[in-house]
Amino acid sequence: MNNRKHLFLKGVQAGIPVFIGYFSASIAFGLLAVTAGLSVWEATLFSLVSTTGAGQFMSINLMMLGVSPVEAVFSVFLLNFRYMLMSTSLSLKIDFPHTIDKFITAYCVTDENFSVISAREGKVPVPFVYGLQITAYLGWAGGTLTGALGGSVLPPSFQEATGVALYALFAALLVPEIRKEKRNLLVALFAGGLNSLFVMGLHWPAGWSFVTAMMISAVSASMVITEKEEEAYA
Amino acid sequence: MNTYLAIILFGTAALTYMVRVLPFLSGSIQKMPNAVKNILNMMPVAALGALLLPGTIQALPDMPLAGLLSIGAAALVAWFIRNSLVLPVLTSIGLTWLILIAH
Repeated sequence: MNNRKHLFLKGVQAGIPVFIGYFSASIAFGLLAVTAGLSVWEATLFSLVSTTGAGQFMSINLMMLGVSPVEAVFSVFLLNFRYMLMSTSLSLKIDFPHTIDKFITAYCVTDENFSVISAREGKVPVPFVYGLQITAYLGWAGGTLTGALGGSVLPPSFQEATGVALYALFAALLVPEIRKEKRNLLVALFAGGLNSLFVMGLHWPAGWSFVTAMMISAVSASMVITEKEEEAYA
Repeated sequence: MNTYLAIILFGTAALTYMVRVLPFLSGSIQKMPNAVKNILNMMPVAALGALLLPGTIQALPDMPLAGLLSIGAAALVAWFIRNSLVLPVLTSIGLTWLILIAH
């Protein structure tokens, strides 16, 4: 087996947990989208063209609330601004032989793919990244299709249960960060507390709240914690 | 597909791709000062925190405690069984389902 193929399969292997997490989470998205009035293919198309978990959930919620399309797109844009920071970090972390690889990799920069790639030692080769991303992408699209198709078939109690899947995925991703650095729990709680205050206390729109809470927390944490940060994104 | 949905779908897709691709192409974004890198370093944890709260208690709007319990269970499973995203997710779905049918 040649090296590229080997690395690709390693990526697929690393992507299997993401696939299963995405599949169960996007079943919830498919169900929600069909409930909101999208057709099966519209829901699936949405996942195929954007692959932005929380952004798509938010988008469906906004559509159900009947906001203007510009407002909906802009809110998701703000929510997704974090991808710029992830892409910046990945552009240094991944070893790109060709420019075209950058365009392809950029298509599927997600929180989970970012976490998996960032956790690896040293420079990450592109075939590994493709293996991971394709697996994750198929999980997200496949789950959406399954959820949308199965929307009316599943018992309502099970449909509701899948609503927690995305958050369980976020929790499972946060736990290793806390194990690595205990103070990360404080940063996460601070961000969550701020976001809760903005959303529930001040009734800010979800997109603004999320971006503001994330930015304030990351900036304050970086000012409090100044030592040994250089190597993490080197 | 109506125009309203088309604008949201493709508008979201286009802007999201733009945000994702620009940093790969711009060298000036890559040569950022350490202060900015430190902020980026804290970003994933801050993002996860803000995604989890208040989302966790709003995941099941009628039963905020059930959502909190199920997602807390997922976090516990993730703590004890390393490198698994599958088991925490399945735990939370299973537990939520049990709570909902018992309710």
